[in-house]
Amino acid sequence: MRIFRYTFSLFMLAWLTAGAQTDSLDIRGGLRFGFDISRIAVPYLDEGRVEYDGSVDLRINKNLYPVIEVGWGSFETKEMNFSYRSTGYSIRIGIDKNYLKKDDANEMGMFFAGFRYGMSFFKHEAPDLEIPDPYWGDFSGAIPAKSMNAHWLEFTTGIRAEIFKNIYLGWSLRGRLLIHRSDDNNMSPYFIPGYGKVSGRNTLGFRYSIFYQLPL
Amino acid sequence: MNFNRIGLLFITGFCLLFFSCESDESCEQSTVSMLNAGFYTIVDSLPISASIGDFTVYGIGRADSMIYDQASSVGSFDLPLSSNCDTTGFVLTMGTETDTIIFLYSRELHLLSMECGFTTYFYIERIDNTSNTIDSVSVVNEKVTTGDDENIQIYL
Repeated sequence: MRIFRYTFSLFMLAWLTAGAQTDSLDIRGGLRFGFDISRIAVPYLDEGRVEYDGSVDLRINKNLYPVIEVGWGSFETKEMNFSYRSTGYSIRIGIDKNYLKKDDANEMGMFFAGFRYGMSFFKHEAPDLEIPDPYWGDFSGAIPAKSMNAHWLEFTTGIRAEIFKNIYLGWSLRGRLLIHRSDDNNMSPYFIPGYGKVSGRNTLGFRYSIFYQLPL
Repeated sequence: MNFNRIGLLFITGFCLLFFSCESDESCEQSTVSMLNAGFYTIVDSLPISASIGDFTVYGIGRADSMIYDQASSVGSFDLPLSSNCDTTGFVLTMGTETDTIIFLYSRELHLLSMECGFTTYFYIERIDNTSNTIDSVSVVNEKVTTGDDENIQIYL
């Protein structure tokens, strides 16, 4: 967690210096839409988990790309004495900085590092649960769906390459640091859409996406 | 420099990399919330731990099933509260005398962990008891959980 914080403040420093850049603003052809194709594999690797994720990024100068990512996620599990379900949306807003030397300023292939502020709005519930009690008899019940939210910081690094005209492929690694999640006395959120499963204060993620650059 | 070709190599080489930390751990904690009670007497206006030589207890309505059956030298004991209602009563036989204790409480379902599942937390709101052997009952910790904290003190 300490490492996350240090790395994050290093990023912030990098942005401050990046702000001093005086490239002329040329955003023609700089809008790009992404779809995370690694999410297709998620239900096969992690039973009960389904996710969809997309992004939009915009080149505002040679090396800076503000980005918005939105996702939908759902996780459902049936354990021995209960079932659990969590479903909802996430939105992550941030910026990527390219570190690759370019021959052409409009080239959008990149080796980048960046950060996001992530938010998730979701509902979780335990549709059925049982508490074994050999003396008084078992208890059966349910916890109805409750609205929850979570906030986190995310930093990322990866590469992106143009494989056909206007079509890009790229992967990115994600380190996420949870800063807030709703309290629930009955059960603390186990799965946060966009963030992942909660164990401790941070998670690691991997994304592999295909992008389409709007030809302008 | 042709980044595209280099990039493509990187990308194809990185096909699937997932941080899969699925845990198949089993539950390694108590999942049953029990009310912990201790016996005390007052000696020189100070509470002193006491023990009962011949102790029997069962739940009201479950006279067929003893929780403690003529146990010897019992200083503290655990009682199961019912998750299905807000009142649970017990009949305690201490030596030759018998007393009844009735607990009124509120309940809260609580997920311990994915491995351990749910338990009920109880919040004791009121205790009614007869006073044949029991002098008084005091609540020291109203929240009944899976832990070992003493919830009530029974003064003899």
